[in-house]
Amino acid sequence: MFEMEKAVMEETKLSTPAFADVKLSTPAFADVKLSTPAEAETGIFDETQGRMETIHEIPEFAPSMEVQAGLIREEFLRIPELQYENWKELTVEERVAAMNALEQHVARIAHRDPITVLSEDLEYPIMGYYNNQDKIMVVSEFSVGDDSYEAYVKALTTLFHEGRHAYQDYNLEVCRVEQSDEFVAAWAVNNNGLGYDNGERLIFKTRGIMHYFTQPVEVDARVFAETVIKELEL
Amino acid sequence: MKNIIMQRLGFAEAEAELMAQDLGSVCEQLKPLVEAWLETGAEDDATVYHGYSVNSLKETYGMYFTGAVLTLDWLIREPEKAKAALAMGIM
Repeated sequence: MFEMEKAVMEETKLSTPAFADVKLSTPAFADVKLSTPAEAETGIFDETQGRMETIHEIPEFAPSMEVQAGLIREEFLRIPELQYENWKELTVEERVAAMNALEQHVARIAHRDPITVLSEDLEYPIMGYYNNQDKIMVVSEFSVGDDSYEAYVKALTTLFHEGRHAYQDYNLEVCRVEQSDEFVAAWAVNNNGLGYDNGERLIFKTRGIMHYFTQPVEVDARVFAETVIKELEL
Repeated sequence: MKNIIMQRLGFAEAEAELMAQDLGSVCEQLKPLVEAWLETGAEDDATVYHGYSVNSLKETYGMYFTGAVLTLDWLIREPEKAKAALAMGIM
């Protein structure tokens, strides 16, 4: 699925007029636009190329998606409650507390404000949502309340997915910290132009799952979550 | 078609225009469904495509008729991608 997501990001050219000229690309290092002459360089092993790639990181911006994933992994490993062998012994409340602890780090790494993680009994197929007004994310008890490994991965995937929505909104409404002009422009058209969420999450109900699934904000959030999950080796 | 969509779904004109384009472009198997909906408002159909039908998408996912038809269209055109997306749920 991860490779398919990356392919979707590369190929998506949305059918609506507003998106006609937006072509999304994977967060490849070469796509980072540099705005300052002096930037930090970090190295990361590119599995597809089989060699080290240099990332030009701009200090005042959040790190690239891949670098964020690596930093999140370091924090994830420092929270014992988030390791599956411990997670499965926790109550739902304890799991949510552990997710909140990780969210603090994810937000700091992404240069955004942290949001509160809650769990609710959501109606399928809603697995989670981000509420920008209340600055919360909700993860379905369908995953948080289930002891299986699959549900554990789903809960963490949802955490990273909704956190990425918080990051998108932070860039649009509070402070620009994302390095890619293209990403931010696509999110702006998605949220402000077409209106991603009209308050009742009707878009997948009225226009079907494809229109929901291929929105720039959704593709970006999925790729981010999958990048982190892959880095965590779950 | 645009006016019917505006009337039945309460869409603004621009959104209704986009919806009309989408519904007008569905694959051949689904065109009779769209035509019946436009003529009579019929919204039920149990014909299964890759494990899903209009009725099942409406019931399980809470989709409107239009969302269900457009989802079936994706299932017919790209079944593996569409099934994977449906399995993922909404986040």
